[in-house]
Amino acid sequence: MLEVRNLHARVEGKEILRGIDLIVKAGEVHAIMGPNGSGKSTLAQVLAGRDTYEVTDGEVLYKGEDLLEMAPELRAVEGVFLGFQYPVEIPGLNSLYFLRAAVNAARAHRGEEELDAVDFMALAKERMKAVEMGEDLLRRPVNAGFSGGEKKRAEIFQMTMLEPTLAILDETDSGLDIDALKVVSHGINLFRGPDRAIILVTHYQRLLNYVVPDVVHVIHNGRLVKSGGKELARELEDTGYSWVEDAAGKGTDDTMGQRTGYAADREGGA
Amino acid sequence: MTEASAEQQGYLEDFEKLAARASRNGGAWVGDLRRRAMDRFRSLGFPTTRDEEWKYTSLEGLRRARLRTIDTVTGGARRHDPFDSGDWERYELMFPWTGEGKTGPGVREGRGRGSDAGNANVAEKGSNRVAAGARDGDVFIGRLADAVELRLPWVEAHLGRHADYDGHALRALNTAFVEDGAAVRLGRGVDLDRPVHMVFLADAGQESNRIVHPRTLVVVGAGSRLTLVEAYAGSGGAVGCTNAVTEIVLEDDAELDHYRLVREGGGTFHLGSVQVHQSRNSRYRSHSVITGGAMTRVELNALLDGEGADCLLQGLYVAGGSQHVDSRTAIEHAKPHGTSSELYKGVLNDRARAVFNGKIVVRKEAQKTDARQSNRNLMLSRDAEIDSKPQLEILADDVRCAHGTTIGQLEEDEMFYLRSRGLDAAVARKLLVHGFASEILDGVAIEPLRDGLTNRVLSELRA
Ligand SMILES: Nc1ncnc2c1ncn2[C@@H]1O[C@H](COP(=O)(O)OP(=O)(O)O)[C@@H](O)[C@H]1O
Ligand SMILES: [Mg+2]
Repeated sequence: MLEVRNLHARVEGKEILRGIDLIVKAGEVHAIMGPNGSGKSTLAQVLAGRDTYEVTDGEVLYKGEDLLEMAPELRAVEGVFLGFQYPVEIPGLNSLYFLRAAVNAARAHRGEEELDAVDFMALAKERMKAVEMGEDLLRRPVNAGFSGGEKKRAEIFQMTMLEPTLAILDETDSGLDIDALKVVSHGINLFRGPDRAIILVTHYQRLLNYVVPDVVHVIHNGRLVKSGGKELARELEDTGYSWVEDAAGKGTDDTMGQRTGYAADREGGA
Repeated sequence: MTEASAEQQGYLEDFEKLAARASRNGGAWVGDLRRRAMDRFRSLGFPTTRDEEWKYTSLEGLRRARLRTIDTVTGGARRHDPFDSGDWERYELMFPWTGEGKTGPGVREGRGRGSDAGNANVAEKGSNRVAAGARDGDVFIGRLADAVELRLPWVEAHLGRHADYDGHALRALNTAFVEDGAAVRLGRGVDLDRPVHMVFLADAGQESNRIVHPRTLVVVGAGSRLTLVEAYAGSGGAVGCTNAVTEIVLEDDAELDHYRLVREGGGTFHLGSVQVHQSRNSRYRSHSVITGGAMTRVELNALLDGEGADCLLQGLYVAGGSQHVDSRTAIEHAKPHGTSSELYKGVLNDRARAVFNGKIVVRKEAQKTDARQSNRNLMLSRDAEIDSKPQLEILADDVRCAHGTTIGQLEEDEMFYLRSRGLDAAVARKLLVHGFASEILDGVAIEPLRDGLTNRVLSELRA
């Protein structure tokens, strides 16, 4: 479904992704773990098409097509979904209106009829239940005044409404208490399926107790330095990222200072 | 008396025609008012950009155009809803200026477009049938010319008494041609059962190079409540000008929701001036929306001349192409315990140019005043321009006063968020602009009108 080869990207003249290779097949869940500042969000955003990041080398194929050539909205209607680490608040834009427009954009692209307000509402209510999201949130402007946890639930809710084929979830677990984490994990697990793939970007191992990945990758300094099964996540939990950094042959760089912070249960990320 | 300049000549000729024709109607005071105002216009002439108040807005094009005046409206009460707002209960006053006939507008009770409910000319009857509980003669909704002719005492008491034209050439010009326009008056304690919708239409039939001077007088008696929609609309690109003056009087405890909507045709100058006089504990809420027109300038002045008066000014201007839009507000707190709150928002595209000037005066005796003002602009193009200037004159010491201006672009992260959900760039842009404008549009309590305005605003934004 997704083939990333030798992907390099930079922002403001600084190279952040330095040769990412990644193959994700339909039905698989991949976890990408790494310390703050290692390039996790950059990878996620580049895959979604953010043009603040300049791709300098490499290629990305999605269902065999050149993903990097596609506009962000085309990627979305083709089934790529990014759950943002920091979803933006858009005061003045009604959530319901926005989401119906998004759902209908995807439906139109697939040649399906648009959902009218009634059918949309019925679907939204059903899907909101799965992530235990209050209906009142939908009546507010997009993410406006949502708590950290509400924002993450709303992202997962949007995912279940848009029914993508490839979901990239950037630290959807951070900022959640244990109950919320279970709810969000449940939402993700419901979404899993043989025709879909998920990339879970996370700083902590904790989410992976609930959403068990098929493959775990460790990212450091813009490269995937190690890949393994789900036990790799546990290993990281026990030892931290220091060995990764040693294995990567790096001395002191700014990502190492984050080492001790990794186990703390708080909002992570750079 | 100074010699009239060449650019004033046409106005003088048109004025003499009107004076001769209208001398019979409504008592000597109207004729005197007109003549004094005409004299004033003669000595003032059109303002130029050397004039501080007109620094950013040039009337050169208007001056050169040598417009001729149309002083009476024509046709019947042809229905027209410039914002396609559909079905809502209202009293309608239509003012189509076409320069062809001499019949005035009718007043209708109706449910807007398509309906043809009874043609109740409230004006002629001075009827109270429109408002439950109102005493006879308490309600007048009609044509200003009729109100003048009927010699209704409140007309003489207020017309031309508030919108001072001494230093204001355009108001002087409007006052010189005062004849047609709207008059609405509620006596004491009337809660009108539906909004009054007045439409001033300079439509396709209008010849080029014409100027109209609509005049509106609104008097809301003590404790009465009114919702007023004052819409100016035109179509086509013919050069022309609407030079409108609205005088509003709010007696003690009166309340007015005032929607002033401008949607002129592409070649039109719209020059509007609103003067509000507020007595004790009165509440004035203004919602001004400007789209269309070549050049639009709307001045809104409120004098809070009684304790505890409250004034809310909300404005939205949307301009693209080479449009020019100038909003000028002045709130004068003359008595203690007044509150005013102002929010004007602008959306500017292409090479559009906007001016915002917000003046707040707090007189020495107006202690415990609370005044806030904010002007926020969304620039959709690098070539668009805004000159925004707050102007505070605070003479009292125990007051709260705050103001702020912002000028920004669409947020890149908001655009990306929407696009990442499958909305193309043009749609994403529209949604964000709508989000920006909705803070003002949401204040429009008449739902169909809000929808009509929203569509109008969005259709101004060519993708
Ligand atoms: N828009 C940006 N401008 C400048 N630097 C950036 C930007 N986005 C990310 N970076 C830098 O790139 C590096 C990787 O960031 P990021 O991908 O967010 O890491 P992670 O998500 O793994 O914590 C960091 O050093 C960060 O400061
Ligand atoms: Mg991150």
